[in-house]
Amino acid sequence: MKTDNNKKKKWKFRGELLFLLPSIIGVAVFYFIPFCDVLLRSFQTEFGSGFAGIENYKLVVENKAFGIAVRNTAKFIAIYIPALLIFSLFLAVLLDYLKERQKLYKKIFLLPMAIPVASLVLIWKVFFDKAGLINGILKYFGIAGPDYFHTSFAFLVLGITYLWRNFGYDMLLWKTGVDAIEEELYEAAALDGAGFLRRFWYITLPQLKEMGFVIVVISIINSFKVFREAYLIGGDYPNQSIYMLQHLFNNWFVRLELGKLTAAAIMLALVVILFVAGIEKILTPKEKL
Amino acid sequence: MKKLVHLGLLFLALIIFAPICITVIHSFMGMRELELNIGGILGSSTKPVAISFLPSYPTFKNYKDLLLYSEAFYRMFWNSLIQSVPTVFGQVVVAAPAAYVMAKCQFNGKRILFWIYLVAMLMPFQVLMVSEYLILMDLSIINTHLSIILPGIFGTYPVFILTKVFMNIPDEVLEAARLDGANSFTLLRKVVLPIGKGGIIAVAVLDFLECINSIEAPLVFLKDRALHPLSLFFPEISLYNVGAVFAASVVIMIPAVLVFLIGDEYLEAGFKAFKVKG
Repeated sequence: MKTDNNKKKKWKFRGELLFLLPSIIGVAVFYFIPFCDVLLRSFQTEFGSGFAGIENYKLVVENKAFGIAVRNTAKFIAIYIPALLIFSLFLAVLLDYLKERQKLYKKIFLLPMAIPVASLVLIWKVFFDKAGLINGILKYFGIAGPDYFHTSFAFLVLGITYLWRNFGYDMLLWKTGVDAIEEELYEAAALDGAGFLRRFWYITLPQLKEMGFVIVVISIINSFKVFREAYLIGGDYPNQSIYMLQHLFNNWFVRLELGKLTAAAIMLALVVILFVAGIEKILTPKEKL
Repeated sequence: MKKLVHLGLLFLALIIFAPICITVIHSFMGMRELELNIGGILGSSTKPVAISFLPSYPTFKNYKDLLLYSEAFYRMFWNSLIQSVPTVFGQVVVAAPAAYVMAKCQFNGKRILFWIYLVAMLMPFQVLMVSEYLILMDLSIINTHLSIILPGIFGTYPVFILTKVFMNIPDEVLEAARLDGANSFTLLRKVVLPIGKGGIIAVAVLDFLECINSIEAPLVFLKDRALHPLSLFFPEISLYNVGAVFAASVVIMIPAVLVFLIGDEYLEAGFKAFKVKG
């Protein structure tokens, strides 16, 4: 019996590893090897194969545009990810409280996720142009609105667009987490006379911890994609307030400043890797790894 | 209280629908009416923007102009589909078997492998852009549809989600099928895929929405404008084409919204896989 078991395991192992092979090869070719290549290049002189030490890294750190881009990217993540998390959690709890028409609301709130950036260009202009709809409404109240695209208000427009697109998705994830909480916990608390807020604080929130990490990760991935909306608002050279790391990388790429580009890329990658290392335990499947 | 919540949520729904509805409505307006309404942002009038909720003289002219006379738009529409559909299809074909192994088999180095996949998933496109460009050049597929499709197929996000989905399949089910003499391939095809169907569709829908909205990769890998997808449709807007651009905005939405409407039931099923507990 024992040998039979072993045999079966061996056979299983060989066959199923083949399933993994295409994926591994692809990830190696399009992610792992490029990453090693970027790492190597970041220590080389531009174009040549000469060893440059940390020269590229020095250039990047001293670069003024890099400073601006890092600050904007960090500011965006620091403001809008918490805003998105809190707003979507609030909605998920509201939806849970309603208990009716949940499906309809979910469908509606998810819709923005499906709207491609390219089809928003014109309508965003209608809304946010200096002579646009929003300023028209403000004017009605006697307020002179700003030029949203060409001043630092662009940062606000970018944030609103990010929230508009992502809150439904995050809400759905929160709601899934809320649904998984056992009803008995609430019933017991209700018997103890705990009110809505106390139940939320002592039961709902702690139970959502793990889901919260997953949502944070997804929100961060999506915040990197906010470049698309920034591109929609400002093209290659937008207002300085929404000049993100991605713009800088693209511009360096066009100007073939590969030394700086790869060095900055490695620095960004390091931040991502440290972040993953920090939350990896929560994300990796628990059993059997 | 509940009424108040409904009211709030309805208001939110209104904010979501407003841009979409206004776009659709204006795509049916003639040039005169458009000038009257939004001439202000086009520089052809000093009046503030006014929105009307129904076109006074509805017309299909904008759509006709767009679809009959704009060859570029037509080409971009097909480029989008050519680049998105094979990517999504390939992603599922590659990711599903891989995720099954990740979720249900034990082998050395699995932890490291999963970690690499996780990092690859989170890595912004711009980090690997240079080297990926060079590799695509070596494969001589730079500036072709394949330069978008191939790297897309091996994105690790689907593997990550499907691993979570397949982990929910009880071991006993797999064990039973194996005792019935199913080999690995049959097991995958007859047991794992059917059980994980909801999650797989969810992944495919997410992938499609992602692909059809892709801007970063086409911008860098496709120099030839004739290969650009619709996601890079950013025309100069003037009074003379604004109607057609409204119509274009609507047409660009259609594939994504259709897929969303068909598949959004499954999105939730897919998300359930994230239920870390239980």
